[in-house]
Amino acid sequence: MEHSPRWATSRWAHEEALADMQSRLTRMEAGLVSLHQRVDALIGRVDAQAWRMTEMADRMTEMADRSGQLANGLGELTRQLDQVAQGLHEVRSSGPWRWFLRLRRFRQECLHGTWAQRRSYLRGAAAQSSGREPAPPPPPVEVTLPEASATEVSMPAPAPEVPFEQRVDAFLDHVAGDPAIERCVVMFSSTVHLRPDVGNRPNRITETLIKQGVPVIYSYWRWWDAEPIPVDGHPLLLQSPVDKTVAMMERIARHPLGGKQRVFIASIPHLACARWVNVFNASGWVTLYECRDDWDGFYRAGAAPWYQRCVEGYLVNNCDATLCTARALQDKMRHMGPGRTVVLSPNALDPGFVSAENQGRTAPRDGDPIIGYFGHLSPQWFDWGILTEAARSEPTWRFELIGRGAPEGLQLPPNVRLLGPRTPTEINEIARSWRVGLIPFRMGPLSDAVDPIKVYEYLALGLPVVSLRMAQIAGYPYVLQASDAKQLTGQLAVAMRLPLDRQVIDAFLKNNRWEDRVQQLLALADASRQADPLKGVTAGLSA
Amino acid sequence: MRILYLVPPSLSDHDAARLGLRLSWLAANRGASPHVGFLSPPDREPAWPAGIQVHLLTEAWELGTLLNECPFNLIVVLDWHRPYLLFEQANPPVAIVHEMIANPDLETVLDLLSDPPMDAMVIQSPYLHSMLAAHFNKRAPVPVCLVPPCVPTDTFRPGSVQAPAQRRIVLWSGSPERRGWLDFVPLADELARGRDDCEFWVIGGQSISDQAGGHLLRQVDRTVTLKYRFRWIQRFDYWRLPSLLALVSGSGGLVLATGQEDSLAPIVEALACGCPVMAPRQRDYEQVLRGQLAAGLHEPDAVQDAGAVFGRMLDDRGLRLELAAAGRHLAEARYDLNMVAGAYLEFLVKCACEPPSSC
Repeated sequence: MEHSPRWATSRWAHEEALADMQSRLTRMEAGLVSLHQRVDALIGRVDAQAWRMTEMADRMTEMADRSGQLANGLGELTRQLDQVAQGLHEVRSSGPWRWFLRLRRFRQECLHGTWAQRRSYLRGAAAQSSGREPAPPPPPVEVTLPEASATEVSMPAPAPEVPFEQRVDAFLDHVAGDPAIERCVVMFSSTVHLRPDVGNRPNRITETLIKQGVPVIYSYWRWWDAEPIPVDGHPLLLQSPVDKTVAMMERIARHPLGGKQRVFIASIPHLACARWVNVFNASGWVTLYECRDDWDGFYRAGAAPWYQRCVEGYLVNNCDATLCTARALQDKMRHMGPGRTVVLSPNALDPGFVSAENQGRTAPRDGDPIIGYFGHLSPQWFDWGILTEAARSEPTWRFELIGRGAPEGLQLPPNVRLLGPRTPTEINEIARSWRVGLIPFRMGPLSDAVDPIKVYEYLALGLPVVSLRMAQIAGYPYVLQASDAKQLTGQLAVAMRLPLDRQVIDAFLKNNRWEDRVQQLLALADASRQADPLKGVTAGLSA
Repeated sequence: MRILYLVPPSLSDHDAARLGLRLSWLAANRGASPHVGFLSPPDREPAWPAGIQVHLLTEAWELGTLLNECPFNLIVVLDWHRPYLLFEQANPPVAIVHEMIANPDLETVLDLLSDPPMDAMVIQSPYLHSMLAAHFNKRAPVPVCLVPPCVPTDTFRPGSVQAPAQRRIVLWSGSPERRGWLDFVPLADELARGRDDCEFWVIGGQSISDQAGGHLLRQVDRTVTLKYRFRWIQRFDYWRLPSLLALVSGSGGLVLATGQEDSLAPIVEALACGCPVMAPRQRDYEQVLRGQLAAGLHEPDAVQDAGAVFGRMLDDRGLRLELAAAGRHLAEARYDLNMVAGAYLEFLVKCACEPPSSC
């Protein structure tokens, strides 16, 4: 019993020490969580900066290209202006023009003029016919002109700039109030605002929706808040920069739009989409995720440092359905969201791409061996090594490459020509002499998950296609594939002589237009509308 | 009685709606004239009910002008500290009540009470109230009044909203400023492993940063099965909550993971709608979930016990009906807006006339 107090003290001391350790452990755990959060935050910030730098570099390249194009265009315009001025001078100094001027003066002064004007005209004409100088004109008569109304003389004052929020409200109200409109789409994209020279999937889908009478709020990427927002001439289109879209997301989600179907499309696995997707769901919207690239692969390759796999997984599991542009992506999304609706929706053709001259044609099967390519020339995508090797091994063939982004300092063989960026009209003209369309993209998981839009455009131009290995397009008509330079030259040789049946191409393209993809998307939206329990909250409320 | 509420700009939609309900009740039933003042522009602009005047007082002199032009009987500071810095300049000649809308740690409250800048304090946590009473031996430096969260039981009532797809929905609802929602993730993951028929929803968090939102999604993504059945609804209209709770009460329930939750209000609202509640046996939950409702309690940090309680709560229809009836009864008896707001006003009147002297 003598030991009892000591034992008690010891136990007490141990308990205190234990409690102290537990308390320290708890604090350490809290500190660790906080540290984790700070590390996550730092990683996120570094990622965001890196992404921003990459995109800025791309944008600088693009701007430089565009500046070059504009300079070329300006030179061309100046030349045309000179031509027009020369033509005008020739017209003005021609005999018929002088006779026309005389006739006009006769009409104005002799037939329709005052008596004083008639006398002056006749004197002048008589003097001219007798070789004398005409009499000086009478002093000008002061004429009081009728007072012009304000609308005739004043220039219309520039319309005051409408705040963007009001434009969004007005657009939503217009959609809600127009009985001809059945639904509205919000396209959350990561590309630049709609431009004729940018033809990626979200742009094409948006344009096609608008053509079909579906209004679209098109969210695009911008780097600076000061970048002007395009004012859309089309009543069914509202372009919104990403920062404004995120700020307006709640207002858009909660607008009832007159009970019309509302569809939100996340065309990029952006955290903002993840944050808002269930607010859209709870407000009765149909939500779709459009998986159009292997973002995970881009992330691993250092090209998409902003990407978070957890966000993409969350979108697949929380959107009503996911559309994938390639089978490899479909498999991946099914793995991320087992049991979810994941459908294949490859890219497609814009029928307007093909000029009238090229409609229904097939590429020449003899003549100069010209192989063509249009698209991005960035070395991240474009396999310059294989192309150069193939070109060197077949010096009699000519390779014409259209596009921007080629790396500087390329040592190209003389039979490879860089034509720079060209308009679709120019591409249509240039491609008439091509015998094969080429897709020399670097092989790997990234290219296996790609369905390049250009394959549809090559086929529409009547060109057989040779690509490096690309799983998605392996079964497309007149598409041959290779795995190295030797195989590439072999396949190009085959493709240049391959007999082409335009009906086969047309049968394939018939179901691969953007109209078909939009039809599929809207059918999916119709089917998904009420399948989500979260939408029951809205249904319950309205009931 | 004219009362000025100084509220933090980060006030959540749900907290603003709850405050608005109470203030409009005071205006409509007791002739009070409530004013709400923001000392910096609010993050969101909630729609305040009629009868409440809202002021934006971004400069100290604006607060002084308002206090001079519109003499108030009382100022209530809603759970933040910046107003006290201004009071040093404005020096309002009225009583100041500090009202806690969140459930802070005891240490935080003790720290605040060590040199109290207010004349009285209102808290909503019975647990905290009893701890303070024990600590100060009923002689707190300023009167501390317990005002539990309240709910309009005529609006928040059992409903019958059927989900189009029959899934059991397990809900967490609250403000994610504290750890509650992050602790929900591992618990939900454990529960999800044994239940293929459940979805797990988290409501709230519009105000948190992208970093914190990304952290939540990463946590979920690391789970085994939860990631396929997890939904985060960062903003949910307060007036749709009865509809949501009716949907949840049909098959699942409200689950709170730890004692670190921010507020008791979600529990009270769930009980009023007949939605079963499951929570750890600690802090306030033991005091709220009593009698039959104690069937929803489980041992803290004991996932297996939580799983067993959870399974009973979902599968035993009889138990669910009992819990629904008991919850509704409790909400009507103790947390109804009419009753709680009346007692609340009485305390404020006392503070305005003659500050009460004991806790």
